[in-house]
Amino acid sequence: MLLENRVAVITGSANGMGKAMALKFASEGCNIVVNDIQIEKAQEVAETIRAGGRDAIAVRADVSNSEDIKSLIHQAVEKFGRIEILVTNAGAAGGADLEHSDEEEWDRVLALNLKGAFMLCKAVVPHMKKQRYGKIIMLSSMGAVRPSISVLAYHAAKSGIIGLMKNLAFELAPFGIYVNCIVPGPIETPFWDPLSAGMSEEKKQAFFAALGRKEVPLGRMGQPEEIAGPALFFASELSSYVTGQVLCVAGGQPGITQSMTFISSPESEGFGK
Amino acid sequence: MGDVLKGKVAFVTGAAAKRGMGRAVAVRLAKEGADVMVTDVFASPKSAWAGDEGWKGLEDVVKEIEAVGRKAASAVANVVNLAECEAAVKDTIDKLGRIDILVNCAGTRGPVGVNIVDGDVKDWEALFDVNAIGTMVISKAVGKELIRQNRGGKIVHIASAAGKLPCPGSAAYAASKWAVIGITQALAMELAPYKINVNSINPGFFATNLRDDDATMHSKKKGITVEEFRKDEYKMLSDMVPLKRMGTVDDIANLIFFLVTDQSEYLTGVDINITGGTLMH
Ligand SMILES: NC(=O)c1ccc[n+]([C@@H]2O[C@H](COP(=O)([O-])OP(=O)(O)OC[C@H]3O[C@@H](n4cnc5c(N)ncnc54)[C@H](O)[C@@H]3O)[C@@H](O)[C@H]2O)c1
Ligand SMILES: NC(=O)c1ccc[n+]([C@@H]2O[C@H](COP(=O)([O-])OP(=O)(O)OC[C@H]3O[C@@H](n4cnc5c(N)ncnc54)[C@H](O)[C@@H]3O)[C@@H](O)[C@H]2O)c1
Repeated sequence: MLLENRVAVITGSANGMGKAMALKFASEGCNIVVNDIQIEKAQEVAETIRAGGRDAIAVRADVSNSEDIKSLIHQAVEKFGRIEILVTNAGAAGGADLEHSDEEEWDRVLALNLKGAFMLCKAVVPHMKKQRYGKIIMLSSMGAVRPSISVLAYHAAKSGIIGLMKNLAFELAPFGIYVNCIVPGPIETPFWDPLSAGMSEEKKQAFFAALGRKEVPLGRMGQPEEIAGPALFFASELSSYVTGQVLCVAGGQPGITQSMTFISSPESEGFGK
Repeated sequence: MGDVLKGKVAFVTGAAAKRGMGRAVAVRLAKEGADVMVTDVFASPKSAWAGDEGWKGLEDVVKEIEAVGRKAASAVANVVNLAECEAAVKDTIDKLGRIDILVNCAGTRGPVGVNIVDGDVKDWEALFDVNAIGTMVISKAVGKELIRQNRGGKIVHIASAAGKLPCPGSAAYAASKWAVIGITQALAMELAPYKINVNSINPGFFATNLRDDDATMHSKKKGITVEEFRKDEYKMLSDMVPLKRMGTVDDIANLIFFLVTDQSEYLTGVDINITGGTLMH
């Protein structure tokens, strides 16, 4: 087992990738603090983990709210006494092109997708420093590197995640705290609900299949479990000498080292339209 | 001892050096359940480390793999020589039945500290041969077999942090390692339809046999022992690393194990820095 008896806080883990990570980490021996704003679903995930023999609690907290975050980390430490792993996964697309963006939306989207990660680190790192060990994993987005639609606020936030991650990796390495970032390609999760709302299940599957064929060398969208694998790598000793890294898990889509190439024209349908 | 890779066969190049990444990876994959073919251009490469005199190269690595209960085979093959690589692939099929994984650890550093204006074209050609053309040749030999088997597969090449961040006097090595990244990215797209994942890693500073020639030469120049030189060099290098230590071959084996398992199914065409935080781009 790669995470025997560790404790992980995973935000936004009621659905999608966060849930897949929670279940995978638990199957490797980890105890989990499941967090989400969808508390009932979070409780179901925690229940599944407990049924599998690991300990888990579900905590409702909005990661864009600093009081909520303080309470989340307080409850985690109260329950388990320590935190080895933090995944700042909660997030959602939002925003529009420049013409249709406004300040209020910008602030909301950045609070959720960027400020939340900062505040979570601020709350968790003192505990990690004390134990001189920690693994922090952040979620960025391929769109931050190479936009295929225009959602300014979201892409700015997810680019900000990369800067935050690198600075923290540099700052915290002497304390044995590793900080890395996953850049998912298109992954089949409820993240896409705002786009597929109103589609029949059949139409939705056809939409996903077409997107995978068109944009991904492996020819398909990814499954949440396929992000949980790399997250396990970063959370465990398999990454014993890896910190400060941006890992594109995107089925072969050109990543960070390549120059910006557009995979679809800026006019294609997307969020915010 | 795990069984995550049970039933799989790995082909590891550059696996004969006592302190090399190839040996560590071969033995680790065996411990995780794989049978392993180990190859190298030398059956038993020399080591400049005290106490390594009795090292028997491939023969000893085969014994280590068998000692953890897995099957092993070995072949002397230069990664630049297509006929030798194809023969080793055939050998693997004959003796171990299949190939699922290629980990290409064969590589060389060449003269460092030589600026381009003073550089020798022959040195550049020799380096490009092993690091760049060798990466193509072994990918061709094993890739063809993976396509033929039609069961998917995993390929990992080793580039270098020195490639992504060249310094004066390192142009030949850096450029040959950029080539590895380029080959990896194109190969990943070419093999994606066959469900073959292709990735590369960029190690930072690692204590292996790679710097042996350098250490021997410089210690002679300075009139100190190789061990003394190494101690100073490692101290200097470790100070440059945010995690404050050199990498170990076990760190490499950890990462490569991840890259050849099902945990990395959606990961292809990337290069991963393994530098203790030294390199972040
Ligand atoms: N799915 C993709 O294609 C994709 C691609 C790139 C990046 N991402 C990013 O990956 C991460 C995970 O996304 P996913 O695809 O699993 O999405 P998801 O919608 O399936 O899950 C996100 C979870 O976060 C929760 N959440 C939303 N706002 C929250 C808040 N303020 N506080 C706490 N929890 C909150 C949601 O309730 C949901 O359970 C997100 O950061 C997302 O931006 C997703
Ligand atoms: N050690 C480091 O600090 C470091 C850093 C970055 C990258 N690398 C790369 O990692 C890889 C492994 O290096 P290492 O540090 O284990 O070095 P090493 O010298 O210990 O092992 C390399 C092995 O490759 C073999 N080899 C050389 N040329 C060959 C050829 N033409 N055909 C087949 N085998 C050949 C050697 O005999 C040796 O056994 C190399 O590609 C190297 O460039 C190493």
